[in-house]
Amino acid sequence: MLPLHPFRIERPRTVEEACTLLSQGGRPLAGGTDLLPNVKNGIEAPDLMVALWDIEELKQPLGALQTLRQVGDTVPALRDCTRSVATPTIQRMGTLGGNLLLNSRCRWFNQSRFWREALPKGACLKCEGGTHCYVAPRGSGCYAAHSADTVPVLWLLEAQVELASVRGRRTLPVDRLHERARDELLVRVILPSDPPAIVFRKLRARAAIDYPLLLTAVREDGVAVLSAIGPRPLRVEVGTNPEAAGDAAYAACFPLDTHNAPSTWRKHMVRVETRRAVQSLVG
Amino acid sequence: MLKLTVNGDSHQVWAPAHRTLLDLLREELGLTGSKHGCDIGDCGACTVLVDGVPTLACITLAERARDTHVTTIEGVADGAELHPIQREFDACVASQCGYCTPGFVLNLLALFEDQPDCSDEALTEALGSNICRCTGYTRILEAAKKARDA
Amino acid sequence: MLDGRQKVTGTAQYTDDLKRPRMLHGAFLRSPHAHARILGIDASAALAMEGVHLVLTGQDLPTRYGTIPVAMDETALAMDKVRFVGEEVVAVVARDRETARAACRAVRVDYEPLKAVLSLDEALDPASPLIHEGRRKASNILRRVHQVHGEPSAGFERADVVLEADYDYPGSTHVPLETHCALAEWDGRLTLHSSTQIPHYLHRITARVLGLDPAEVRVIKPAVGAGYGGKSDVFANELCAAEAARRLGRPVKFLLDREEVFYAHRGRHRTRMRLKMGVTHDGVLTAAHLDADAEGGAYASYGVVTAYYLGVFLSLPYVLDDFSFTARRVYTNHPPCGPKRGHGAIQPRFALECHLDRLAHAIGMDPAELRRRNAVQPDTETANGLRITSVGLEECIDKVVEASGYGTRDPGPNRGLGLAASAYMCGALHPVYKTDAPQSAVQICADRSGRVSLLTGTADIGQGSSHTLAKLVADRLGIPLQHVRVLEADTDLTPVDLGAYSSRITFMAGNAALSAANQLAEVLDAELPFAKAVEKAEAEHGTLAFVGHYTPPKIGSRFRRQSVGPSPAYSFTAQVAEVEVDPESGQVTVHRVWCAHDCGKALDERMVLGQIEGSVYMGVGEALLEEQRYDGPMLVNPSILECNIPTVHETPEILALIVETHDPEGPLGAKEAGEGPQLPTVPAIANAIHDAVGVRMDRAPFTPDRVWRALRKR
Repeated sequence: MLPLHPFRIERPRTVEEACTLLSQGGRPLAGGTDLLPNVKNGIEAPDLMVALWDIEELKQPLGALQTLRQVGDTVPALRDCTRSVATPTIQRMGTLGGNLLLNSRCRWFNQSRFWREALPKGACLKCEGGTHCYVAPRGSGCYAAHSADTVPVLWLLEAQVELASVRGRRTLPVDRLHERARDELLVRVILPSDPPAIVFRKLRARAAIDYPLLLTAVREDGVAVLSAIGPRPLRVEVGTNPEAAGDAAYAACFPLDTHNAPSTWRKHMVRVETRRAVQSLVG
Repeated sequence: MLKLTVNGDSHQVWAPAHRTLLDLLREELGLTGSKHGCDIGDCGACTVLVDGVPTLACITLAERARDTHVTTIEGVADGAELHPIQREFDACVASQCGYCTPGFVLNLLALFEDQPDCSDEALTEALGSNICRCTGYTRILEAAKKARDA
Repeated sequence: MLDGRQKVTGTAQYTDDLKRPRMLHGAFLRSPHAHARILGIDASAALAMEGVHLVLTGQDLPTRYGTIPVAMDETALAMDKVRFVGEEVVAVVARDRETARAACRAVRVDYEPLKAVLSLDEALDPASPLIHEGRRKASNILRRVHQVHGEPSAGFERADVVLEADYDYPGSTHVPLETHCALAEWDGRLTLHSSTQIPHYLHRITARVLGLDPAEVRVIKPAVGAGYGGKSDVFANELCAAEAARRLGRPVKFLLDREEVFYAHRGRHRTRMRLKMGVTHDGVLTAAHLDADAEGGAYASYGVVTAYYLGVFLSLPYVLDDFSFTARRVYTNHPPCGPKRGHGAIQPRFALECHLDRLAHAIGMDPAELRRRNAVQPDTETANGLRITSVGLEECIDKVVEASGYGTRDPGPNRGLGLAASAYMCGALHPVYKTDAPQSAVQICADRSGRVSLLTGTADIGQGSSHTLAKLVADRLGIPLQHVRVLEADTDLTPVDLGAYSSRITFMAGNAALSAANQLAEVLDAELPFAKAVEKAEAEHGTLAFVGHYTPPKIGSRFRRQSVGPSPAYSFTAQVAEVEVDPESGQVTVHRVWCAHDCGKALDERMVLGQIEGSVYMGVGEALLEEQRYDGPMLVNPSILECNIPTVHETPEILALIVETHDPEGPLGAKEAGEGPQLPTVPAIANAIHDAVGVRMDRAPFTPDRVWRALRKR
């Protein structure tokens, strides 16, 4: 029905082989649950797909190729934020690495090529060759929302990610993942040994399939990370008093018109969700 | 050349890298039981099993199925004898237009293989992967529970 | 189920499952403009591409058509101008879909953009550009209907309480899981397989548009993955496939992708309504007036009929001897609207049932009692000439009130119960084109093997009509269901049936089937086992074949312009919804819906229950989640992901109850069940929300943000 464009595919067996291919412009492919729909919609058109399926190193615990379902089954701290993704079937296809690197989303962007090109000022800023942002026409960049369920929790866990490239390996704190170079491969996530208690909430239109309208994660020390409200998750020190926490988060967040639900209501829900998260944290 | 086993039959097919598993099944192998619903992974109508794992064939490359065992709706019955899930779907009238049925059956097949005594909550959670537009899910849930308890 | 095995084994053949040797594939280039003149089309680059066989433009199929003969304003491909984003402009036929789509991108179309008409107000503004030029009346109003029955002003005078309120019902689309698909073949004659609800109308229109004698056209409906009204028109992919097959002498298939189905649309009209009703202190409804404006999109589709449906059922299911309505169906530069389950009656039903709750509260009466008090009675005629036979309204109300505890049970904090009721037709009395020929027929053939063949032109689109007809016949003849073979919807072989729309098949084809079965039964010796009896009858009478047909009675001609509304019977429904509202977020959860539906007689209980459940499900979607929304010219949510149809998690527990009133004219007393049960759902939920948290939701869907804002305003 929706054909993909012709491309080459390679199946490297090691991280090093994969890195070489990525340095030649290859696009990493894991579960494909985000990439392939975007390719079908003409959002990306890689010439070379680098399938990571055969790289055993990536399948170790918290490796990039572990499925979201496997991660949730084995890591209690990440159970809620992997069980919330899409549907159970997609959780069994989608990977930890794929979710961490989930492309940002916006109602003007996640559309077919036909739709985006029919827009009065052409395809939006986030598209190749696009110049106009429909969310913030007078803004200074792309405001597509960060939409990965696992990331707010990983921020609060102060996780690290191990990256590899032809230039070698390095670790980054997960909240600096945006510094990743295009040809760097995400190898695994490293968690601290004694993770703190974190409450995670996902707000979405339906209880399955949907991407987040709002993600709220709060740690037992009153630090929160909210997402789906802007291009990056937002860390806010909200404290452990539920009412005050809701107010603090509300004051800090400015969701834009990136979703099909009104941003005024989503901002209101920042307060509600944060308050509820802190409430369940403090018991 | 791509080698894969589908419903117990081994196949060698030529497919370009950009062929999806769904198109391979439907076009190259003539197994049209798996359906195009949305083609971007949001409805579950294309659900097949790849090495026992429920998989959306429309967003899976054919290459991904190389050297795997794929199960489609055509391979669920045991010869002429329907699987209990199929029998209950029929008996409970859990299919109206029938278009979503293969996806649901495969999803449930994998679920019961993995968790034969799953709770009602786990059953409902699993069914969240598939859209039905005709039945309101009432009879699908009924058939699923009966098949589980059989 | 008759065809259950095919469905659960994946062997049911839907149109895209069909393959032919040398088959080619089609794709469309669609308009990126909501309103523009086409200055020129250059397809040379596309035609030069390897594997491209044909390019069609509007000029290749210039004959105008439309399912409703008084409003034939469409052509297969856009001619001269485009009228909505997504309209088909060019069709390319190539060796595969990939090539066809790539070739579409190589076609150059030059447009002169025009100012677009993008809202109801713009459509009503006489200064706006005309979407369809050259009409007799130069405006963007497709049809205005104004009817007055009795004396509404006197009725309002008589009332003790008169209330007026505005209601806003959203557009939404069908989202059948199977997208539209057509496969055409030419061997000197045309054979067209299509995922359609209307094989007969498709046959007539295809022949006319292609300039063929209908006797040279064969339309076959394979298994269909649902329609709900979205496949009741003739579409570009069908006509282009047919024309391409004829020109190329090769089979041609056009499959729509999911987004394209959103542009095909033909869904529910967004309707703005103002309803005024009067009631006496002791609960007698005295008068009603409805103003309704429906946004119809770029083409007429069934819109002329919609304009009537918006008002003609105001007289059901409560007696209203004095009522009037003014309905306008307008054109806008958006995908065309058409019939979606409950066609045109759903919107005013929402208004009326919410309004009844307002009236009941104003006079301090139990809303169930108010409804009972005014219930239409059996064997009566409404003020606008609708002939009512069997009525099960009060029984339906009683059943759901009892089952739910409505009026007596306190469902708890932030929870509420809401009641609504309705009626719906069992098939439109008149076909869309003028004819006195039967509207349905069933041919039954039997032979000494004991098998019975049932040939019918009906369209089973998943609602189970083939099963129902086969069961009627099997039961009448006393043979197993599996001994009846249904051959359906092949215009070469099956007698004419008008198709699956307006809930007509059970009633009309059912009567035809019963008639044929009775004729066969009459020649059979009842003492003998069936096969032997048939052989004996063959010996006595010759080869056995009987035709039963159905033409509706001549009713409803009491006054002019009454072609829409009359039906040989009406079903009745009552529902109670139990909802819970989260006052902080506005999130509404529908926990349970009790639905009692008077279907006359349940020919197969499980089928009827399935239709009730599916209807309520679709109503819940329209109540909470689904909305066809536009940002200027652009449909904001043309995907399964964003159109928000309910998953299993959003679907309530549905407790379906069957009421039987044994209609005198229905087959074994049966009436419809496919659309009626959806009508009360949205207002029942609205009324329940009011019961729960005290706000009246007059605009659907009741998304969390709308409920939250309503609560803040209070």
